[in-house]
Amino acid sequence: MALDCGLALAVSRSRLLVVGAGGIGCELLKNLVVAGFRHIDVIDLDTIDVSNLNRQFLFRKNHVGKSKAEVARESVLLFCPEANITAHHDSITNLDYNVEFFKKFTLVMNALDNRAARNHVNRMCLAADIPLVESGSAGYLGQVTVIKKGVTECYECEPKQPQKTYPGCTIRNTPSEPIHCIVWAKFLFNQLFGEEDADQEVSPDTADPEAKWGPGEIIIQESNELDGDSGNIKRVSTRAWAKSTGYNPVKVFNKLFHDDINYLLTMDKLWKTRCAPVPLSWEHLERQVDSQGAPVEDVRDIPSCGLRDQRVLEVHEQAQLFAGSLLDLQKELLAKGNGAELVWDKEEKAAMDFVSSAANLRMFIFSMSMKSRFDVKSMAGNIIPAIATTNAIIAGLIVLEAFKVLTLQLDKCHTVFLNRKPNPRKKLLVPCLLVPPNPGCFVCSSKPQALVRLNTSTMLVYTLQEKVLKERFGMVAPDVQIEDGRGTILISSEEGETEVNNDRPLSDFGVRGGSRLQVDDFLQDYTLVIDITHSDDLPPDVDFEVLGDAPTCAPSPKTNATPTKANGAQAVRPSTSSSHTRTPDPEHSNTPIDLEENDGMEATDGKWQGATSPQGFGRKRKHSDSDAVVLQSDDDVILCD
Amino acid sequence: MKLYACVQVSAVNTRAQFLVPHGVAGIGLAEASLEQAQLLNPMVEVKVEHGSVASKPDEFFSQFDAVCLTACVLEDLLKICDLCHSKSIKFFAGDAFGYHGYMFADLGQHDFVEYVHASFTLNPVWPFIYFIVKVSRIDFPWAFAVLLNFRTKKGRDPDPLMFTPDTDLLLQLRDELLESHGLEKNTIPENFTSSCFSQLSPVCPVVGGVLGQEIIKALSGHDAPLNNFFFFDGFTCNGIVDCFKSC
Repeated sequence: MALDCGLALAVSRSRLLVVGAGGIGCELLKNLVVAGFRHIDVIDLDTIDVSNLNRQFLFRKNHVGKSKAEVARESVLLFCPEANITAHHDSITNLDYNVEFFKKFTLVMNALDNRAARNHVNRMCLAADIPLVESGSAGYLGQVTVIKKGVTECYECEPKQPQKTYPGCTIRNTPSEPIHCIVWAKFLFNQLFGEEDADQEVSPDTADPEAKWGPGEIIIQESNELDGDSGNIKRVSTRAWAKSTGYNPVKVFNKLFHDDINYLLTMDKLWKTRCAPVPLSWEHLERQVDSQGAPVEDVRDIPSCGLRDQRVLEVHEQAQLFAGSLLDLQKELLAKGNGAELVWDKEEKAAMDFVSSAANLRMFIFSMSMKSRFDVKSMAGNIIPAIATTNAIIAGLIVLEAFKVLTLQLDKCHTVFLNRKPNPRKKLLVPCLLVPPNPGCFVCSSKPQALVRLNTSTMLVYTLQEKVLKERFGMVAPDVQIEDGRGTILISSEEGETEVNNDRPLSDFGVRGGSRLQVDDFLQDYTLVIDITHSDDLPPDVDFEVLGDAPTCAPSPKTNATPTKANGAQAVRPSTSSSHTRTPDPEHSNTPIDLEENDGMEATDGKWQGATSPQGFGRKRKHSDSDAVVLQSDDDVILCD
Repeated sequence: MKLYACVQVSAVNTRAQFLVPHGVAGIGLAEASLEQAQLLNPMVEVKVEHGSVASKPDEFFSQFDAVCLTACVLEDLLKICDLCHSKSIKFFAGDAFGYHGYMFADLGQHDFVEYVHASFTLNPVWPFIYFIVKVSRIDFPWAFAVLLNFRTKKGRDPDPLMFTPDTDLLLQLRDELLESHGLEKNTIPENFTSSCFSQLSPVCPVVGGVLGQEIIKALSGHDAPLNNFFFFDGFTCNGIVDCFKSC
């Protein structure tokens, strides 16, 4: 390759860390060795799935189940045996990958698919003062940027907006689009098998303002009473009820698709302007199948190599799939022992079958066209399908930016956006100037500080640790000391030291308005000072607010995100908050400034919002709701769950 | 789906071509890439065609829905582009020279679906030839024209091992081209030669990615195609779509 001497030398000498060996990672590894890089470490926690094969071209069918990092290494060595590649089948958040580890590299390249791991690598690179090339792709869209401590914005300088959730009553009472049914089905999964969550209620919502529900009109079902305040039909939780029936598929089916629908129908105001749902009973379906003499084959046994996935099943097949997957999941739950929970994963067959069939049955009831399992999977996984060509382009751009970093031309580096269509200035690829660090950033500023409003007498130590420190502030193993003159240790990352504190409120330890907490994450070499202000009147569902953040829009105290497997981290999103003052405004952002013409925000303006996704849903949400700097996944983009 | 790889035989560079397994030598590039290309997707039938594209009879092209040329001399590009245009075969071309790359598409009459309910028709795109003679606004196309002329003349691209003579020839070709169109010399700055030697590996996936996406869009009839040129500068990472037609 015709690199000039300085660049060629820099390339041959540098040692790179590639984090992630998925869609972008495979392309990137190929580009790197072809460009002449010879010392590369690649790390990925994941193993290869069949669904990766269409674009992660270093993997073949016989590799399914094996480590992505290791197979990627072997495949690259086939065409470039002289490359010196070290594969780590591990999570980058593992304690082994400490600051010393990061310091071994000339440059780090992220090819990740989740925000938590990106946050972590961002902090590690800041701590080690190693430049980072960050990237992401979603469908046709992609982005590459360069992060260098003290020179550019870090990944967390701009707070990322949490994704919106759908209003509960749309999900529970009046779904009008397939996605509403899919969200409902995912909630149902969690209600029955996963982490129970009051915000993921699936039963009819009697507090629906539209329904104008009067107490006199209540029809109380068997074990149901009205829980006056919340509007939930009070029942022994959905799971307890299902358990009591032994997860009897017929009973569960009839309850969800017949009784609950009938119950909804009694809220007649809802159906004045809408098409009313039609209850579906197991017995009715059975009679229908009998009378038609339809072959009763187990739909789950049809080979799933694409064909079954892309066929829209008949209602009776959906019912069968529902019953079968329900039993499979029950077995799985039982096998895990008492108190265990299942985590929804679109790649788990039974879990996906369950959500697909339950969503489709609900679509049928609400007179929508049913969807194939494939389509449901895309939507349920909130996938904008990963596009191989986008990843190829992004991986090429990563290397081009890396060239400039390695030849010390940081001033020539850009944030580059790949648009779906050329913008009015005819640019399909839009280079924008790098932005200097945000002096108020709670990660990369010299003395990171944050002001958090919470109720000190109700917030538990455990909640502080999980929701505030890990979820909101992206720490991996925080230690918390109260600056009360005595240095009281509230939370220790050493196992067994402070667990006894978990269930006690902060006020038990003398934390009140005006208290100051020093939080350290030794792995990330990161210290954050948190000033507490006490509040008794936080909005319901809001555990805390980070001041300086914009008021919460559609507060969603619980993230509905399903944990992603990638690199060990959950798809963590800020739980309350959204953004502080520097949040890019799609119209007037200070963030991406296009070179020369200063036509900056194109990457987030109409072009992104107006783009359609192949499913015709969601993308608009994503790009209107999220900011320009969100680097999403090269696999799944969580849109709205 | 049938894919034919009509890559011309050339010296195999196992380092630059990741589809070519290590240690393979002495056979055509297409042939050497076949096995790995096939493994990418066993459902696709991949075949190798021997001989140069220029030597193929017109009927040869009729069997394809789309034809994509890379690394061809200008004469062949123009000839096959015209041929495909007359036969309503989607035509694509792309190249990478150093930090620069381009993609060209001539879809002829092309219907496509965008958004769920609307359908648009794109006006026929003018054939490739006008790109060379009519363009005046951007440096790139002129520079590409010089590079394509170089390829015609030498039967190869500028080679870093022959940097001085190749630079001289590039500048000479630039002057001839600009003179013949009565343009000033600074239309193509003298230093354009410094960034166009050989292929720069990361430029290839960018141009190739855009080409691949455009071919999929054209054949599937989904989404508006890029009309009709894409130019990429790998140093500034600018990727511009522009339409050049006779007017």
